[in-house]
Amino acid sequence: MGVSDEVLVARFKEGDESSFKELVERYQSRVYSIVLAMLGDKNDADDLSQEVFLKVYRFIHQFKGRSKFFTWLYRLTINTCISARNRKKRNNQILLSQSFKKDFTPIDTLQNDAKSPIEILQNRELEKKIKLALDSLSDGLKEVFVLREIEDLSYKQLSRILHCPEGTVKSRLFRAREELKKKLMPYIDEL
Amino acid sequence: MRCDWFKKNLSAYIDGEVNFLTRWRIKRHLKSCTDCYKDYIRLKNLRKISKIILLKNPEPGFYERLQAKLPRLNPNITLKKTGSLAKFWMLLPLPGKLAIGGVAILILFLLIIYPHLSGSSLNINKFEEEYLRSKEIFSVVEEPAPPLLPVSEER
Repeated sequence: MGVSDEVLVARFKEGDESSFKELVERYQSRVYSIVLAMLGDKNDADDLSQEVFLKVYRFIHQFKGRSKFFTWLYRLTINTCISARNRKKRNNQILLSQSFKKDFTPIDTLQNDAKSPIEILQNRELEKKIKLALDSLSDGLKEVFVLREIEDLSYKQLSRILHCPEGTVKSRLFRAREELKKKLMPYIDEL
Repeated sequence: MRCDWFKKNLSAYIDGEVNFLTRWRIKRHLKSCTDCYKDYIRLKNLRKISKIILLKNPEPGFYERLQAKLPRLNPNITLKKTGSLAKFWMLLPLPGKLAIGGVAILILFLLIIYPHLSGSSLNINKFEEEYLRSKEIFSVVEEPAPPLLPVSEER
């Protein structure tokens, strides 16, 4: 087990940039996954993930250590995603149609498991369907679903990040899963 | 109990967020109800594929791209330095902070407030006892010694 987040943050506040680099490397995949799931666009996800870490760099002095570092980071990530999404809506960009026309790469894990071209094609189809279904969820349901599935956070941790009661987290997760289950029933039944 | 209740709690059951009794009830129900069991399997499969779909890595060189954007030369952005005491306080977990705070309050209370609450810092009874004891000692000493009888000079 490496150095804790709190120690890295303390060192970073003292001016140690290598600690900042370690924090970025520790959380870059998770932040990128959350952003990509929320926005659905790979190019935007890279820029926005970097924006999240730039905010961490600029505003780290505002983090007083009252909560865990990842709670603060994920809150920042969700807020950044919501702002970006609202900006795009205001600019009248259609996310869904654009994201599926650009850079569509197959799922690495599924592709490694698949041996035949037919299986690769089926996996791509499945990924498309899942992404479409995920994009159809409302922001509130998507946030809680994405954070739960990517990070395996408890309901208590989710309630702290999303600033809502645990009961709300539970009901949002239930509703998100019900909606996804309805849309993906033929695919998840086959597994 | 109707299946609706079980289906509503299946999501939390899969997440491990139900109490012992609920977990036991749901487990027992799943053994006997095929419909709910199918729902349970669908939810588990959904979790499995969601994780695969959602977990992605950024393009290589993420930190290098970020580094180019960091405001290194901007003098307005400075990292505030923390002293060792501030660092220690920040790293200390909450129970430790509460314990130190409690001890500090107790010490202040004993030093400043408690003496005023007890009325006087002198123990009058003890003082009186010692005074009387000392008087007794002195009263014994104050009696003049009996005169010495002259030794006869007859030899």
